[in-house]
This record gives sequence, C-alpha cells and structure tokens, in this order.
Amino acid sequence: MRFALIGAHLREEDLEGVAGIEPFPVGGLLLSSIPYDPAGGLADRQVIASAAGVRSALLAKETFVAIRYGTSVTGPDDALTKCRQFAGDWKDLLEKYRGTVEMTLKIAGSAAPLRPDRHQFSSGRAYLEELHRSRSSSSIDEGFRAAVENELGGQAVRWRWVRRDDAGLELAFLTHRESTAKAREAGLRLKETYPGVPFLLSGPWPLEVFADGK
Amino acid sequence: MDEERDLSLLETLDHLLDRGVVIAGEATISIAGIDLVYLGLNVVLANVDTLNRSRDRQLEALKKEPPEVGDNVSS
Repeated sequence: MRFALIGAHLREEDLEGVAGIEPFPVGGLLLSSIPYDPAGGLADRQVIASAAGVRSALLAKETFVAIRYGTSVTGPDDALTKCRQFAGDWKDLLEKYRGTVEMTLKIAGSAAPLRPDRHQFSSGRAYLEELHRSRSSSSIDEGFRAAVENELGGQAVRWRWVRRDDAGLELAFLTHRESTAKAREAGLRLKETYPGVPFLLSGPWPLEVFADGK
Repeated sequence: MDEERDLSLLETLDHLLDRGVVIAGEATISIAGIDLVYLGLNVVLANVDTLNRSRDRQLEALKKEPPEVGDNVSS
C-alpha cells in the first residue's frame, strides 16, 4: 500500500469528518493522503477520482496547501522525510491565509503563437528559450486585462498574473471564503461588458499558486 | 448544463493534476525554467499506462536477453 498526498493542514479539526484519508504529522502540520494500491498506480481513474473528491471535501472544511497529484509516500516516516523541509513555510502560509481561498480567471489568447523553426538555432538552449518566449507572447485584450485587475484584483487579499500555458493568461487571487459570491458577480459583470473575450472564472481552490513561495 | 458540468470536472482535474506544490524529485523536470514534463490530464489518464507498459516490455526484454559484458545499461 502507498499513499497519495493531498495537502498540508494547520489543525486536526481541518480534517475531521472527511472520509477515506490517512493523516501524517509533519512539523506541527498534518498531511492528508489517500491510500492506493501500487499495482494500479496513480494513473488509476478511481484513485484520481477519489483524490479529487477528498480534495474538495477538505477544502470545504478549511484552506490547505495543495500538494500536486503524483506525490506518493510509503507511510508516515517517508512523508516526514519528504515534507519536513517545507513544513515551516507551509505553516506560515496557513496561519497567514486561514479563511481565504484561491480563485482563478483564465483568459484565452486571441492568436495561437508561432513555433520557432528548430533548424534555425545553433544550440538547444537557444531554441528552448525562443520556444518559451514565443509561447509567452499570445495577445490578450488589454482593456479586459485592466478591467479584471480592477474588478477582481481590487477585492482580493492578494492577486497575481500567471502565464501557465502557450495560449493565455490567468489571474490567480486570494479572497475570503465569504467573498466568493462577490467574485462571481464580478465575473458576470466582466462577461456582460466584454462578451467577445473568452474566459473562465473558477474556484474556490486550496492554496496552489500562492503556496509556491513567491 | 452538461457542458457546464463537463467544464467543471475538467477544471477540477486540471487543478488536481497540475496545481499545488511540487515536492522535489517527485513530479517536475525543467531546464531553464521550462517544464519538460507536464503532469497533466492527458499524460496521467492516457500516457502513463502506455509508459508503464513500455517500461515493462523493456524490462522483460532485458531479462530475456542479458546485455553483453561491457554494455552500458541504464535502469
């Protein structure tokens, strides 16, 4: 049996009542995990569905630091070895942002970026850098971008633009749990004002973007 | 309504599979800040099984045909 880690939590009560989890203490925090059969592996659809369900149930209880799916441990000692170096930072984040949740607004770019011709480069590094640059240059409606900052950034505890893939941009923001409806209302206003801009407002999520130490 | 549900499920899976802290040595490999391994929906749902089968086939082949002395074999 192995365990897929789900997140790091500040208090024991944050995990109470959530079925199917195995908690591991690490540096004053509790890690949540779900057991799985190594023969089936982490790609097993049931395990993925279970992880998604547990993640959602845990978020309904309280904010936690999300650990990316794919991290697995053999038990409490392995969990301690792998995660104790992060426990201090995670604890600080969880104390600071308790009661908040992440939300994201993804904006699709207006044009697909051109891929550079690899034969035009003398080194692999130069090619990779150009590929990265070209994928970071899709155009976003600047008016919409400013409106997003005004509507959502204005009411957020913290916000940040993130370029996650080659086709668009994303605003990640932290908001108080009781303010998620207000954020959705802002999303509806943006939709009405900019009907031609494709975007997706989603959340609440656990600490994902804001747990990366930046 | 179905479209909204599908979108919600897709978004949930995207966050599960591609968000949150990465424990060193566990998930991401990058060069010059560029992720080379994307632990995303398609990879996990489709390709990991394929990779595992491929790895198993290679291991089986190695068992059947042991390399000659002096060959470099990576595990």
